[in-house]
Amino acid sequence: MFKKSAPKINAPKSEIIDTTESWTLLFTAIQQIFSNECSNLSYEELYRTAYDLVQQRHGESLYDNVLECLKYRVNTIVKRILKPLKDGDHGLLRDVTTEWENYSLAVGMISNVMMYLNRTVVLNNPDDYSPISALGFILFRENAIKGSEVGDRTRRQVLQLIQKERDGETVDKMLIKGSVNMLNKLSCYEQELEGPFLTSSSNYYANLSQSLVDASSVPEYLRIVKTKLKEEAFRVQYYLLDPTKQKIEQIISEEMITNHLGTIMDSTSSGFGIMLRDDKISDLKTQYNIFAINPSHIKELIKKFRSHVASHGLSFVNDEQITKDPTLFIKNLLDLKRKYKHIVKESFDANPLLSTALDEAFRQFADGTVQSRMAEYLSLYLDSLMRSNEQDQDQTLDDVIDMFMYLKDSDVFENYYKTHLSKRLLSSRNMHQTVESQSCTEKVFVTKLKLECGYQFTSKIEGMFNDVRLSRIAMDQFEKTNKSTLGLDFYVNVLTHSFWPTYDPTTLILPHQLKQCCRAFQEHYDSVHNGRRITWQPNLGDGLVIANYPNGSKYELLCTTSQICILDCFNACEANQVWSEEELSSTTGIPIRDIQRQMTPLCSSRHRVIIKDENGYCWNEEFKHASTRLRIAAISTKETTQQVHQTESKIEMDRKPIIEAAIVKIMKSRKTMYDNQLIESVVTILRPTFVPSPIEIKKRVESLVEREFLERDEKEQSLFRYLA
Amino acid sequence: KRYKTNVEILKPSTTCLEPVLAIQNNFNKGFQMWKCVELFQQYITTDINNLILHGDDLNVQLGLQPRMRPPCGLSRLQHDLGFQTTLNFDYLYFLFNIQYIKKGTIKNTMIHRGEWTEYLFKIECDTLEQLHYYIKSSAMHGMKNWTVEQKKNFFTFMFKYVIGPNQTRYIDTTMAAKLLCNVVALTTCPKMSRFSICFANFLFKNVSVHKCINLDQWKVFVDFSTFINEDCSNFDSNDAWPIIYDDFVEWMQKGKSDRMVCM
Repeated sequence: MFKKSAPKINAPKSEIIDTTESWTLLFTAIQQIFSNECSNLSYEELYRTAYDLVQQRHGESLYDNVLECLKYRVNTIVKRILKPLKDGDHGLLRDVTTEWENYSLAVGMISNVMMYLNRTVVLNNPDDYSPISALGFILFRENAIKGSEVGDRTRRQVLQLIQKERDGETVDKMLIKGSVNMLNKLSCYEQELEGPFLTSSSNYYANLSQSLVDASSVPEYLRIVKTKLKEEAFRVQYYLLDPTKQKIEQIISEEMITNHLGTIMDSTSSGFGIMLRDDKISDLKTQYNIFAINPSHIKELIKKFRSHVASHGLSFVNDEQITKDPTLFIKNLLDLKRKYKHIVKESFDANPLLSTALDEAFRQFADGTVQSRMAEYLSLYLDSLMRSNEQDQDQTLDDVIDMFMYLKDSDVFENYYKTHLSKRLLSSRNMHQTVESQSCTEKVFVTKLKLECGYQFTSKIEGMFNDVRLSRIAMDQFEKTNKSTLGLDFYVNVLTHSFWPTYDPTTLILPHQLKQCCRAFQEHYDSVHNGRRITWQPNLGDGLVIANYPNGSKYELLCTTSQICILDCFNACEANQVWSEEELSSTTGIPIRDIQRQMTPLCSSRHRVIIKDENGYCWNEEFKHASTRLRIAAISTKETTQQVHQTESKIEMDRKPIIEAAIVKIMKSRKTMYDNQLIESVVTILRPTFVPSPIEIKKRVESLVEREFLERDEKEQSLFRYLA
Repeated sequence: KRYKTNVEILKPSTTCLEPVLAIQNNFNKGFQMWKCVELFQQYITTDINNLILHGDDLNVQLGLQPRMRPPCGLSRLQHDLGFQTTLNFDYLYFLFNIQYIKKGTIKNTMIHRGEWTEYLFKIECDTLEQLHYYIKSSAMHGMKNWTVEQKKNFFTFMFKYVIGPNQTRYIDTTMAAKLLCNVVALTTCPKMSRFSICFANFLFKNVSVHKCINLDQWKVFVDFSTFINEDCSNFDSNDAWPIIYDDFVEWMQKGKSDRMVCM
């Protein structure tokens, strides 16, 4: 079964047409279109005529004819534009844009008429022919813009207008915009206008900056640069093309910043350094924003910032006047840090690169190399902070932690911190209460330390807190059974040996009453805990002594246990009996050099409980003081040079086993290793705590070789082997 | 980084014990074992199988303490062989060779009966005179063709000899310096002997800084004198030399090593 085939549609029989007649028709139409008299044209007819011509293989000649027509038209336009030369180029832009608009409209219409030509001939030979509309543009570009003076003069005119606008005159922005659009349509904007525009801008800004830079201060200059950048941005937005924006910014940055970088950075009256010094937040922000255009400027900014902060800090750290008072010194240093942090945050957009630069700069002077007592001072500052009882010091503590992180050798800080902490913990009666509350400043600080340095670093410190807490409980138990027999208010802190700083064994001979208390506690403790050994450290304690003077006055003296022992000597004797240092030493068991240290606060002009003369000490019968309660025990202060040396050597000693442990740890896993690899690994392992010197590591290796943990290879002198 | 070895290629001598001597032939026929054993018997004291050197004797010889009791066997042997002091290269070389027969193990100052007979049989000496002559002539070649390893063995031997029975891990700096200038300086290695005199001077002058020398520091001297140029130009303190050598080189380069005659 076959479907009935669909009726065939035949193409209308094309008549043979007269080409000359057809072309004449089209030609007249084109002329009418150009002269804007196209309202009564029949486009259907025109289109069909063009269609027929192409159908009958006259496409090529039609194309050539249209081309000739367009070319002629362009030439006419050029002549028309260039004619009224007498009144200068003033009206030129208007003429050019109007002519261009008419021309492009006409070309569009012609292109519509020649649609079929576009679709066939042009499409089949894209190499030889262009679509009519494009052809019209090409002809205009080649013949009018490039081929005649029109292009040059248009450009000159536009640049002149821009210059006028820069100088503050009002210009017809639409006119420029029209020209720019024309050039853009003709795809010769970059070549014809943008390039020359950039060149002239570059000259303009070179001259401008030259005249400005000497006349104005740096902040003023930067503000002008900022305004100029804004103006150019508006210009681009109004009548230029978007890609130009970045280029013109680069030119301004190049001409106005790069060429005057030295002045901006180093000007001694108002340069970058001065702005930093005077906290010119908004000026610095301006500078940062301008510099952000060019990565190399930012790099320069960072470099300068780093060296400025470092030199500021160095001058500070080296100033002996400031370092005299550790607390003030650290306080100033923290202020310094805050100042620059603020600048980075507010002016520099919190750029992480600049934050890093700030850290690097601080590390240069605050890592303990320049000021070797940095760690001690920091801990002292913390000590004063903790004692001040102020609430809400979270921010300050954060800053202290920051400073701590700059330190090269964290173990030095740990050492001082523990010493000072132990004094705080032991000196305060109510410490166990504070320790139990989570929010106390001490606890907060330890938590922060833990966050930064890990559990290991703080475990001993937490142990110290725990000891104080447990002691309270132990004392409660003890008091329950012994309270009645003691006759004294007696309190003992039980300290775990390995958590606390190491103390020298004491030789102090306690007064009889105290000795009894100690014995009672020892008995109690031995009965509760089996196998624990108690070593008494009475010199760490303090106590309240009530002094009853013969004249009836009564004072309460808060002093250290050693001082109590010394005062006890005077208890039994006559008012004018003189005790020499040697006698005191033999009675109390305190070494002579310590006697003087303990006596100083007692004899000081503030208290004068004891009178010192050339023969020795005797007690002051006429002692008078405004308050009845006196605090005599000294608080922790800056160490003397001798003590610093002691601490240094103590830390040195403490480090030895740590280094050796690291060496053994490495060698245990590696079995054999070359000397320099070993040193490298040890430094890597220990870096968070301290940076050991290669010499010290070498010494430790030698010591381990001597003790037969390691051996030197018989053949290769720099190879070490682990001996299991 | 390993240091480049610039070891002079030493001829691998099969043994350092048997310099073949023309003179030896004269004794060949006459060796008698009983004479050799009798010689050993002469010097035994309490321990009948070993010739022992007491720590006291060593100290007496070095003038560190007065003589409290009669000299022990080894000390008498040394005296009878004609060596006034125990820190004598020829003598130590002889002791070293006796012990070195038992390869690898270096004991301290003791000669076992077996070692004695074995060694004397090997070199075919059965009287003191022969032995003396043999020691003198063999020591002339001492150390000349030794490998680094052999030298180190000798150094270890010296160290243990000086420690004696009192089992410490180190020797006094003065003792080390004396060993250097009395024993090591007399070896036939020119560079080593020059270095040893310098090093001894250095040790004498820095007794307060470096109080004692351990075996490792002592043995590394062999490496040091082998690999380091005489002007110390190729010494790098970043290499694995013990600290004492860093100090030594620094001291030398400061020009302090004016040719002081050693004690």
